[in-house]
Amino acid sequence: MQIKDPAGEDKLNNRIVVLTIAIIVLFVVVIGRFIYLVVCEGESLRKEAEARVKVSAVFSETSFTDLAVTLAKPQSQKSIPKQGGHDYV
Amino acid sequence: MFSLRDYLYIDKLLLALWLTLVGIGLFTVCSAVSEGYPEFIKDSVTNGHVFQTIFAVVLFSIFVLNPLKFVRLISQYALFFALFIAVLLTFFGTHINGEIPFFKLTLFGDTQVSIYGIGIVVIACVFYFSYLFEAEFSAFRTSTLAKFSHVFLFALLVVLCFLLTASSVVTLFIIALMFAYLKGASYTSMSLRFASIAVFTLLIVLANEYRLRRLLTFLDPWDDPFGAGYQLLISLMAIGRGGWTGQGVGESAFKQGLLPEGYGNFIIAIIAEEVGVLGVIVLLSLILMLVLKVFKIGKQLYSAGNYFGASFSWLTGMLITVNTFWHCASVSGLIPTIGKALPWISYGSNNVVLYTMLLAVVIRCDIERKLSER
Repeated sequence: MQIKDPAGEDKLNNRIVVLTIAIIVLFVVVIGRFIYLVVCEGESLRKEAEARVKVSAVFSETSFTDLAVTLAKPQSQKSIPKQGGHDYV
Repeated sequence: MFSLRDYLYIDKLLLALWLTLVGIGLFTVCSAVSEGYPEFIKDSVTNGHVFQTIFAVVLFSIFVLNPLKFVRLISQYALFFALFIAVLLTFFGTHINGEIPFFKLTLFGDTQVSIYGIGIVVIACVFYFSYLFEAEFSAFRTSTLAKFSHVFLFALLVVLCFLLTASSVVTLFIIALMFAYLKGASYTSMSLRFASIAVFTLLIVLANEYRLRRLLTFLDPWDDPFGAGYQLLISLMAIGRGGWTGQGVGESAFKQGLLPEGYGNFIIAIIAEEVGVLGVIVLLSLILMLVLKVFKIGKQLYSAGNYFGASFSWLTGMLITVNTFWHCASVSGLIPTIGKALPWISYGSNNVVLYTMLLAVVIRCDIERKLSER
């Protein structure tokens, strides 16, 4: 059985309106932040990003498994460049 | 009683929004983990997210098709349940960076399942506060002793959660604050409560060296670009690289192992890189539409006299908003980095299951309102 309305329906309706506005504001703030990052800092962030991606591409060409196998080999079996040439033993 | 015909009364817009978000989440998580991660992580994340999505759909059907009498009945014990889970977490939870957010269970031989205990605690509190809100309207008024015991038990839960994860304490405070606001607390009292929560949050941050370092890193991530500031910087670069329209779906470079947790707590950065800020705006607009619809349902439930459903809808809407804000704001460097999952989109924190359960209860309340008005 429902008998009372502690906040009062009008008061509660007003509060729901305030909460709704607060929610919309939070979403607008976050969207605004993303737009700010792209408009104001986009160029420098993009340059940094491309530099990082290039570096990671160089690293990804080396197989980490091969690297681990090479490092685990005894010193005598490790690849040593021949003098005066580009071949490796 | 269980009835398939109840499906006819489901709010179509809410159902469509939920399915769209779950679909986007499934696609994004599987895509985000497809390259650059070791096979065991790929398998665990992809299988885990698919399993959670299927489980969420089953749970959705169960909650939507069955009357809420039982849920309303158990809601009054939800605080005890939350305390029980918090105690279990304290003793048996898994430690990560000084926090204890989940349990790890070993099932089916070697398969490990993570149960995000702290999320269950928060959800249980939504049920409990909805029960309290309804009790405020009830003919059987709560005695002063009962009210005191409610406050005491909630305070105990806050202390336990303080030992588990700091962000959960802030979430619990937000739920309690919103409950007080809906109950009709004056703006002066609300301001005082808000100020004390702000001071308490600051103390939580200052009390732990790891949290303090994260706060200082947020102020200047370039100070330690390969250490504490690494994740934030990479996510900012991903957003910058995406620009307005993005690099194209599946074309993210940072998801290839460069951004740790790119499929979880930093997923919006990967989305921004692939579909740009315009894509992020569309995604956030979908979540906002869902929240506004949930709020509208809450208002209709209130007018129909379903105070449990009304309070539950408003608290659910607020919880989705707060977690979406935390996720996006921390990934974009607006607030300190807080490991928060984006509702229905991120992998982890059982977020697909937990938010689906909340939404299913809201939809069920709406169905019952429509059935009673028929």
